[in-house]
Parts: sequence; C-alpha cells; structure tokens
Amino acid sequence: MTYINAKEILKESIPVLTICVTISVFSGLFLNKNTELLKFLPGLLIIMPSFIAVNGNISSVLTSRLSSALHMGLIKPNFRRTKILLRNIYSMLIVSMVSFPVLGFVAAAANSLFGASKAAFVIFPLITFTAGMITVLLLIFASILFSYVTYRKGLDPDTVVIPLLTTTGDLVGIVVLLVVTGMMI
Amino acid sequence: MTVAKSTWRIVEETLPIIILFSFVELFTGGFLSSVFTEAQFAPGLLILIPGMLGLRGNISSAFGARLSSGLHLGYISTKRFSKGLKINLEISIFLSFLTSILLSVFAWLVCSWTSTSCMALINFILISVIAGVSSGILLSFITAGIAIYSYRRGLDPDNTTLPSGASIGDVITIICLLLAVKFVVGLGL
Repeated sequence: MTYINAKEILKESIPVLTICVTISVFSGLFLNKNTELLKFLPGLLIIMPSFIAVNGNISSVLTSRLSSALHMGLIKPNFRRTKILLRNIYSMLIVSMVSFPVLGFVAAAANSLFGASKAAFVIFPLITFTAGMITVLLLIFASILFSYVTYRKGLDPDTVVIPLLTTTGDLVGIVVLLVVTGMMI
Repeated sequence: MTVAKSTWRIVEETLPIIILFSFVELFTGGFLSSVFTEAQFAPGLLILIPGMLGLRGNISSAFGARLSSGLHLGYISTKRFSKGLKINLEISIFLSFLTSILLSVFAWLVCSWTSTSCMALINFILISVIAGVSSGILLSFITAGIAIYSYRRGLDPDNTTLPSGASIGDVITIICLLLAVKFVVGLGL
C-alpha cells in the first residue's frame, strides 16, 4: 500500500517542502527589511497572519475546486471562459470583498483595546481591502494557470499546486501588504 | 453535482469558515507582536517567521489529509494506536526536524548576505529546531486527535482537520517560537 510507504511519502514531500522553505525565506527577508514600517504601525503585525491566512484559504479552496472539476472533466485545461470557471472566480472575488474589510475592522477593534486611535477603523479596512484584492487577483490568476499546466502534464494540482501556491501567496501577500501600507501612510 | 454549484452556494459555504479562521489568526498576530519585540535581542529572527508558519501548515495539512484517507480506507483504526498512525506521526515529526534545519541554514545565509547584524548560525538552528519540532509534535497529536474524534462522530476528517489544523497550527507555532527565542536568548550563546 503506497499510502503508508514512508519512503514514498518522504520522496514526494521533501522536494516540495524544500522549494517552500526557499520561497518563505524571501518573505522573511522582506519582513526583516521593513522593521521600521512595522515599528511605526504595530497593528500591521496583528493583521499579517490573518491576512496571509485569508489569501492562503482562498487560493487553496479555488485550486482544490478547480482540481476536482478538472478530474471530473467538468472543465477542460484550456482558457475558455466556461460557466463553471467563471462561477468559481466570481465566488472567490465575493468572498474576498467581504472578508478583507471585515478582517481590517475586527483588527482595528482588537487594536483599540490596546489604545490605538479611532483612525484605525478607517485605515485598517482600507489597507486590508486594497492589499487583499490585489493579492487575490494575482493568486486567482496563478491558481488557474498552475492548475491547468500541472493537470496537462499529468500531475495532480491538489498535491503540487496547493503547497507551492500558499507559500508564494505568503510572499506576495506580505510584499503587497507592506507596499500598500507604505503608500497609504 | 457539488463541483458545479452556483456562485452564491460557493460563497455561502466558504465565507463563514474563511472569516472565522481569520479571527483565530488574530491571536497569532498578537503573539507575533511579542516575537517582534523579542527580535531586537535576536537579529534576523523575523526571516524565520513566514517559513515556520508556512511549513507547519504544509506538513500538518498533508498529515491530516493522509490520516483522513487512512481512516476512510481503514488502515488507521479509531480504537488502537495503529501502525499506519505511528508511521505517519514519525514522518510528520521527522519532516518538521529536517525542514527546521534547512530553514534555519537558509535564513542565516540570506541574513548574512543582506544584513549587517545577524545572530550566530547556532542560534538560528536552535530556535528553528526547538520551535519547529515542539510545535510539530504538539500539532501532530492534536491533528490525530481531531481526525479520530471526527471520524468516530461520523464527520469527514478531511473537512475538519485541514482548516482547524491550519489556524491552531499557526497559534501553537508562534507560541513555541516565542518560548524558543526566550530560551535561546537566555542561553546567551
């Protein structure tokens, strides 16, 4: 049984994890280079894990759904705008449009407990919404492209695309969040 | 057919969970602020953070997914400590150890190239391995517990272990990281 073959599992996981480690170090580097901005707006650190988690969840849900649809033959790996593909894109856009401002608002509320200013209730949702929509658009595009390419090559997008896309999403998310914040302040 | 749902059905099913777990992650953010304060005693520490959180998610969601398949297929039992569970636990802990070492060495290299103040390689390795392995062990047992409990209650562990593991994993990892940093900085190597 392959599923409890330890060697097989390690052989499949180690290369993917190594790529993920490499990408994530660059996210960390970007964080390390922007300590001044983070010191200036400490609330940004409280938002960050939630922000990248929302990105990660949206891109994994989409990739997982695309993967199932590809396996079931409901969509073909060509870039034709079929109804099912569009529904998946629209639904993820709606989810993003709601969850990012809500996240910013709740983060502002959490921060106000520690004495942050009332301005946070406007600035935080604005930052999370702008940065979130930019990131999600990039990730939706990447999810479709990589799912189609891996599926065409005979690989399973579930196992290959999801871990790589969530790690890349962290990098893109952190960079966009810091750049958008830097521009707004 | 579930895959061909309408736009609103997809929104209805995904939105609550995504919002709920984004709130859970705010706790991670709170602890992250403490880690940030601690980082002045451990220059370069911030480089480790996305990797620690990301790897924990990758390893534990793969572990959760394999346990779910194992439970469905019956090679992991809900009644005793089966061999399939033991092997998967070992793999998950071994991968945590291996990737923690890789991450710390890469982080140290990148830090030395790009920044003038960096803690020693041994500090990077100790912090990463202590935090990575301790959170890996804790989270593996929690994930296994959630998977087996859900399966017994007639729920699909695929739907419960992945989202809960990801958000609990981040909180546990950041707490373990904070403790590891305090410990290693306290050693004063």
